[in-house]
Amino acid sequence: MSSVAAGVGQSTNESTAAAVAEAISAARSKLGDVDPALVFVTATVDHDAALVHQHVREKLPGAAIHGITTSLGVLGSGGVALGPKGAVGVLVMGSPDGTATFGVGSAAIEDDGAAAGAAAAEAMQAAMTSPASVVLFNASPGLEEDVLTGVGSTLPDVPAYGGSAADHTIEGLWSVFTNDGIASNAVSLAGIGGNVRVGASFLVPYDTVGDSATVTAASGRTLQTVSERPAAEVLGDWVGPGIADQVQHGGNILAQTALNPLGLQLDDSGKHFVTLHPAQVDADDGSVGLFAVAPTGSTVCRMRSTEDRLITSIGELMQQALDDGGMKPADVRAGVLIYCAGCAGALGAALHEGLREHLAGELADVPLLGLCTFGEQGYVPGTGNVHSNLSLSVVLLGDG
Amino acid sequence: MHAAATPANAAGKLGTIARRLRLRRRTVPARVLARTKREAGTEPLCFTSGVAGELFWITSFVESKKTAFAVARLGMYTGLPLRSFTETSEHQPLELARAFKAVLNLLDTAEQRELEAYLQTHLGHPVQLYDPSL
Repeated sequence: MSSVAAGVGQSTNESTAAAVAEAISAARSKLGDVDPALVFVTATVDHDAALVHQHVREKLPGAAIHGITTSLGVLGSGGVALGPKGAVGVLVMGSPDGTATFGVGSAAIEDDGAAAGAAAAEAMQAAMTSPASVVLFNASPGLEEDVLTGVGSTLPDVPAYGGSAADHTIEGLWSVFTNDGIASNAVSLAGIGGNVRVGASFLVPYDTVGDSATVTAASGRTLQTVSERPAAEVLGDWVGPGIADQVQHGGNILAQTALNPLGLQLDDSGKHFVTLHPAQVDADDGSVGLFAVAPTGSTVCRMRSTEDRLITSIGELMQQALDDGGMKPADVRAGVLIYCAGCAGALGAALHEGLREHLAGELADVPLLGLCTFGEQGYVPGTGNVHSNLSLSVVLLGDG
Repeated sequence: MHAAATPANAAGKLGTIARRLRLRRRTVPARVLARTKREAGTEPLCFTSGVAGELFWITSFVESKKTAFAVARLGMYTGLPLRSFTETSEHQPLELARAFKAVLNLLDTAEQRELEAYLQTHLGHPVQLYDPSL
């Protein structure tokens, strides 16, 4: 008998009630008689998140709820699912022989990310009957670095993978689905442990180009000066004429920097980076808004990728995770795919085809729920759990 | 998460784009300008002042020509709640400038011409897409 069973479902039905019902019906059918223990919920903000939560609770009263809203659609082996009124997706998991354990914990973030992370981790672990082997980390955008620090203080050495809640328009319309309801500024953790095999991968599909510079002033996620120059000027030199107008007048540079972001060196080896996605130029002071922190004194560098690489990375990511868990596709019972919304936006329709191409064959049969997020988190060997932008991650679960 | 534009900064950007739109206005047929002036009652900020529904019809076109995913991408790159707009929604020049720029990145040349014809049909006057940063 298996230790892990799961089913995935998604729907683009315009009615929230019908969309949740369709998605859960499809997912639930794969579990047979197994009681659902955990449901990972996602939906685009076209749906009322509170209604989504309410309907999920009604359909699966015994399952712990965890998740976030996704940008641009729900991802899977069939490509990108999004209808005129949005999309809903669920991954329902249980343990046929009762030897795999699941638990969730959440906390409001308010202004102390570390405290929220620690509280959520304590609640999550308390809900489990065995230590977590892996944590699915999902939070509102803003303080993920601090939240990860708090999680790490409670659960040292437990790898965490996930993504940040998202909407379509970066208006703050996102929600976190917790077991108790929805929240706009919160963290939810789902722990999986016991008799379960975990294969995971966290991928930054960019290379350094050569230019690097020291951050000479930064405040939170705003990069003010680099090498004593306004950050926008330096970025303008690196990215080129594509953002010249924004450097001069200010504005959104998400599209132009998706393939030309910044990198933050994680150590002195020069090998490990996280990616920082420049989002907005403030023309008044030449500062650049990011989706992650680049502290004063750190080294940022110029990164580059191609659309083709962002696509082929899906296959690379899956293979790395399979290797990590010592699994073949047929061994995988469930998976959660996180794909940066910035990358997805840059790719457009190519993402749809890329998912179908790289999640084909035996991988097409894996119950895999995919989300587009506004920040990604993953485990880097030697460094620990990190927050990044423009990244991909996947967690695959198999029988222990 | 990201730097929000301050009101002062937004006003500065609005002024810049409005100045550019005034320059472009010279290429707009006199009939449209006359109609715009008559409806708005004052010197128009841009050639579409007093005309409503541009973003509703752009969204409608992208949805029919592309996908809902393409509409969501357009929303991401404009920061505008496109699906909330109706045929009677009126837009600021800054919103239109953002939308025009994003739609030029989203559509190929043939689709851009098709969109211009589509907008003319639904808005009742010629519309020329252009990148306000050029």
